[in-house]
Amino acid sequence: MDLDRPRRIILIEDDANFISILKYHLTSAGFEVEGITSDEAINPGAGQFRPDLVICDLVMPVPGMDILATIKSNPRFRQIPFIFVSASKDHQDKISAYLSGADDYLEKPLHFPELIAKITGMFKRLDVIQQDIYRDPMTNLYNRRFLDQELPRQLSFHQRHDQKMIIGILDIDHFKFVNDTYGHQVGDIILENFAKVILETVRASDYVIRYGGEEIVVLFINSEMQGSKATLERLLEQLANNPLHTIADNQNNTPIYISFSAGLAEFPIQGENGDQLLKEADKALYEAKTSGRNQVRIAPNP
Amino acid sequence: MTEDYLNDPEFIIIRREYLDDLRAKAPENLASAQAGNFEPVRTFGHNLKGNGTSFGFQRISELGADIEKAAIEGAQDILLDRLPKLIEFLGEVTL
Repeated sequence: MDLDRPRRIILIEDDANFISILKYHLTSAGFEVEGITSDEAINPGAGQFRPDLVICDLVMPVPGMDILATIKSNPRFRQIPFIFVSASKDHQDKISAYLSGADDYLEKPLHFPELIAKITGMFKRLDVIQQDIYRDPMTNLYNRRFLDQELPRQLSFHQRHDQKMIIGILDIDHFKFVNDTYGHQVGDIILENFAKVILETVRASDYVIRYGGEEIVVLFINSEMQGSKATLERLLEQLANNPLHTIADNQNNTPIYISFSAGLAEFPIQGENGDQLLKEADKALYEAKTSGRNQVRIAPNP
Repeated sequence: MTEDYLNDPEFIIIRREYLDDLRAKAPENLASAQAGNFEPVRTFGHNLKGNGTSFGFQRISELGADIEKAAIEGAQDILLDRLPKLIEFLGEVTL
């Protein structure tokens, strides 16, 4: 789940003509669209596509109501908004659809500008909700709830594609000293600026998560250990030369420099699940802290 | 309804493919109707009703509605009137 990527829509429809017309309109509006048949949809776990919205025909060889029931009974998919489209104007069909969990029911022939406006509005509401749920309000980084949801997905994706992923835990050195000396407001500014610098340093495809207090987790997507370590060491060097904040008073300016300690663990070598990997990265972080801080340590191979 | 998209060159290709698809399927459905096999004709009519207007062909939606209703009711005489009309329309329409 990347909150900034284009929204993905899955079309469940056995009529290829309807898929082609919907694809035309929805891709023109900037959405990513994939069409699948009712047979494929009845087993949603089999696909790799993770939609933000499902648009499904009601009348198909595998009935749309059966597909809705399957999707709503699957914990991975049940939160996904679901819209029925149908040539049926039968009120009983609509009532059954809504009572079974459909978010909307649109009659064919569709009015495409209206459909696109409806979807856009739905995604705007979803954006607000997801920002609240998955972002840390101070740093605007992803939060721990996001990590809990995204990490298993990423590990599963990397396993399927035989890719490596590096997990890093970063902890600001002597952050308590910053808070105690300059106050918590300055501490908050340091955290905000630290988050910005990390985001500027890692790749857009990586995930940066506020894990807790002054701890940040970075998921280096499809990466090698040495490259990830080098990235964090570049970050250390940058922080050594550039203050994250400057306190101005009557007499002089006080620049505040920070460093951090970090531990790295590699999937799948050092752990096959999120808990193991975070534990190994945390051990390496502890080593970095006890070895003088301001450094990056790699978890030992098992 | 804004229907500028109907003349978008990219969409005209999609409309032509739609017509070609129907030109292939309509005779098959006529044969089904002649044989008294109405279920595939009902589905065909249902899809015509839902899609025709979206592709810019109101006439196809109208015929589709008649075909679906006649297939549900087993009204073979109506099917044997509307399906040839559909085939005739598909033969005449050009983009």
